Amino acid sequence: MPQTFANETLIALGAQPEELFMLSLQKMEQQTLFIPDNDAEEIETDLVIVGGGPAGLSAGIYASRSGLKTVVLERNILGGQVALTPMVENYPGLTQIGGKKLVEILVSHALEYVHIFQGEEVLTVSPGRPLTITTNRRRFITRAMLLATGATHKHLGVPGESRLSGRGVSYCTTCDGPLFAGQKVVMVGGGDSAVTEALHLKNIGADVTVIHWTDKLDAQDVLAKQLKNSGIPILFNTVVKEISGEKSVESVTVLNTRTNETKKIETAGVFIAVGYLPSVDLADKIGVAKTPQGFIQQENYRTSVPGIYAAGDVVGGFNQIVTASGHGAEAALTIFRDLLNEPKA
Amino acid sequence: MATPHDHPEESSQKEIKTQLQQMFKKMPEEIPVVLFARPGKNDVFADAARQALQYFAQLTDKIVFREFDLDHKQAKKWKVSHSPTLLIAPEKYAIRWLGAPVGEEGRIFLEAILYVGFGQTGISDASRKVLDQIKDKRHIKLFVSPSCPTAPPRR
Repeated sequence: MPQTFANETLIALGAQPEELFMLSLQKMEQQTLFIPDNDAEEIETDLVIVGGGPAGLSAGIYASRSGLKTVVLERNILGGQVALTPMVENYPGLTQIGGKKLVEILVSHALEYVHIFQGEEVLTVSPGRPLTITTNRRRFITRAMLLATGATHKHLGVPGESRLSGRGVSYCTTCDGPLFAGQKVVMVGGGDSAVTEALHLKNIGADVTVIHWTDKLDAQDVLAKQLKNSGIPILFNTVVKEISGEKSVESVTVLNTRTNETKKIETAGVFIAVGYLPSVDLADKIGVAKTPQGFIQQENYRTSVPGIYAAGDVVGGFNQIVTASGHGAEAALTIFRDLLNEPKA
Repeated sequence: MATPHDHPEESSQKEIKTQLQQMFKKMPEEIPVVLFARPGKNDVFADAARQALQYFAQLTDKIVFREFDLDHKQAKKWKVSHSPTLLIAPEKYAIRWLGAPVGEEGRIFLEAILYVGFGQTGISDASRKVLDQIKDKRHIKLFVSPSCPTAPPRR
């Protein structure tokens, strides 16, 4: 297999397409994705998708295949939450794949159909048909817009949390739970997600304890009962003050807010489910309606503003890659049908 | 033009030869190609390199082929120490080929000569934009095996 070195550093193993090779040469390490630059100051299109995670990329593929001229804008890293997931084991068809690798596959696939503008943030959206969207680089005139801006997990904000993230601290039991089968873990949170995930952890054989800050679970009654019946211990009125461990999590320091007593609990894993923060800053700017939980309100992916749609984690749901992809595909097809029924601008 | 008596392989070779001659004819500039070789050192590869270049050179006067021993002052000038080494238009470009341009790589070598001859790289605008951003020097070395059946052609 051909090997290319630049200044004695291996930059390409195997043959690469020309543009990708140039990028490897520039970055001085092997690149796997080449997203062509675009100088255009104004781009007319049928659909602008905001967000380059699974929902946005899937929507891009479906919209483009439906015949809609489509672009995807991503202000940050492509892949969204997936890019941060060490290992994905629940994406159908792929038994086990690194999150980054899955993102590469998704992005490469999407690039077959859509132009992706990375590092491009939407600054303003002028209503009307068509919509005018300005970014930090250019202007888009578009018939429709899909908000697939995703969500981020809330953090506890305690010492050790970010340092040990991915080393025992996790925000995703579905992703990382199986690694802790037979080990002691704590589940921080008392809402629907935390209880569901605690049950999931118990189910896969982890010795789980729930840590909740008030004296009553916030979860639905059915879930709370299930938790009680499962025999999972719950530490009420307890907050995590610190997560400790050298190379990986070894213990958490908790404070009982009633007794003011502090204690250390030995644990191999700290799962945190204290809620999601949907990325709705753009939605707020546009003024689309939101649910009481703060997600974008939608019906069949249509938001309260005509021409603006939403899909993926930003509308709530199960926060799974496969569901986000499914929502993206459905949203794209909804948009396609809606645009079919309206005269071209 | 193939005649009824021609062997199909021979006729296709003739066609390639004619195509090459026409292409070389269109090249605006002469291309010096220099082979450095030392008898007794990788003779098989040196012979293959020599034969390939002699073949191209007899098709056109645009390829000016010269050969020097590794002791020659030209070898010192271009800092050549490996036998065989081919330099393509060394006064103008820093392109060197160690070993022999045989197998799939023969075609790549020919492409390199044509790019130099026409003074055009054929790279895309997107590639050019990336290259424009590289401000410091890159010394590129590409290692290939002529016998590798899976390596797709590349520039």
